[in-house]
Amino acid sequence: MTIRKFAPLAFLSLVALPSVARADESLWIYTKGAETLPKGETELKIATISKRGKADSDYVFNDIRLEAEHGITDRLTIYGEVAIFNHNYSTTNPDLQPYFDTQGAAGGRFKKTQIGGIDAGLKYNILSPYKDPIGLAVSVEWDHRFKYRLDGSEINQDAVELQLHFQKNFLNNQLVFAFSPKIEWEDRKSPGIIEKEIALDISAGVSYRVAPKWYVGGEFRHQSDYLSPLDTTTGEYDPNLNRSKFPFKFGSQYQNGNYLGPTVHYADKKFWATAGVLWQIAGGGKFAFNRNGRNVDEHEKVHVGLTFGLEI
Amino acid sequence: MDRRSVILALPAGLMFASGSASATVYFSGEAVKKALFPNATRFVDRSVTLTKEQMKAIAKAAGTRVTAAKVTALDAYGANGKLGTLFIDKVYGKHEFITYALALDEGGGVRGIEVMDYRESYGDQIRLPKWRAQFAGKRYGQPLQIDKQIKNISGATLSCVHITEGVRRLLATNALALNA
Repeated sequence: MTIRKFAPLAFLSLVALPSVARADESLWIYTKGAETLPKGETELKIATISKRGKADSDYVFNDIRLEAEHGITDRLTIYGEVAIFNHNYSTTNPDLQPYFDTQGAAGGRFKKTQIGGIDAGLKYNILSPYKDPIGLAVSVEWDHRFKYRLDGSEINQDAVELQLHFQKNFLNNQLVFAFSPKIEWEDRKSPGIIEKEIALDISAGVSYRVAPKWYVGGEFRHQSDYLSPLDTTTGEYDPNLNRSKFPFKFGSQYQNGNYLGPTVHYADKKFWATAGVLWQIAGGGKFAFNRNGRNVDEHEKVHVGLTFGLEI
Repeated sequence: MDRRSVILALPAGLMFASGSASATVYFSGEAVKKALFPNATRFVDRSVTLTKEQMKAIAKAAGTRVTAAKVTALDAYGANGKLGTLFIDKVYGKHEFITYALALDEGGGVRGIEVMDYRESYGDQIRLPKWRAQFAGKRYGQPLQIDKQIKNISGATLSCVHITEGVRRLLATNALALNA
């Protein structure tokens, strides 16, 4: 499946929408608050995160998500999304894998837009950030990937994610703090390799309403993997790594990345938009490609995010 | 159009599709006077600017922040004398202000509430008469809390909480600043 068939349909369906209104919204790029959509509300989102910069390369990966959410009750939201991957990279370093091999060795370039996968999930609000001491929601998500997000190669991956969403508001709800820890269980099959991976994705954000319709804030994100690659040709696990076992036995940490940066959010009656720039401030991992205290193979130097939301 | 152009056009299409927003205004100043005091023949401006001490005292009594010193209030008079006081006030919505009017009877009890404008995309169930009627007769000094004396509307929680806090604040303002 390629973007060539899909994108014009998506575009036409969006511009054909009547005037619609905004609903539940994200103040940050990665961090999600504790709110859910009211019953009967439906929201469409386009979220893009442009991930840029790896070692010895001109790496650009635009991770684009088309998402629809619907409030089943005032507390329970169901959602689904299509992930579109847009890659454009070339590296001169043969040690930067899997990119160097995927691009076709030295002098090659991988430039492709592809349907990367589909996601579906449920989010349930337990405590309201407006009238309870702290807001809390929990979400469960299933992901399937046809393509590997890092290099665009063919994979067959299923993952289950469990995420908590804490939110605390101050100053008549003008100052918002949120903290969203997420754990992912990934089962990834690619040619010659099967990986059982546990990943942590922990984000936190703060945002302040500086004027009507405008929030300005900042966000932190940590992401790390704990995995066990099985070489299917030899039938052996990597002897240098302790194996992860589902659900909670964490093996060796393969890599990690930590990001920090500002965010801005605008909301009108009919739509909302959020933008943010997060720089990798620290990263590493015993088995990762690290340089100057940063991870530059699984992670990128900077993430530029932009999300638009519309409610039907 | 190449693929990158299509991708870049998607957000632009969203912006275009959204159109421009406009606030929903339900009552003008004159209309809300007639709605809440239909028998009034004249109104006398009782607006005040609170001192810092008054703001502190009101915040403490109401259990909520007082961010604006200026209070817009009008005394309503009918053929047989004073009928009560009308407040025009604003509270925070999720992104913009919600403007509402609170009418108190001569004894300081809530006579009625009207939402004058609501600019948020959802949560305007606070306009429902049944929800607003919960405030009728409430006075300064009585408890007035969401989920206790005032039922919350799921899906409009922020608006319910802020209107309830606003009414508490105006009851305290009426008692401590206008009729001290």
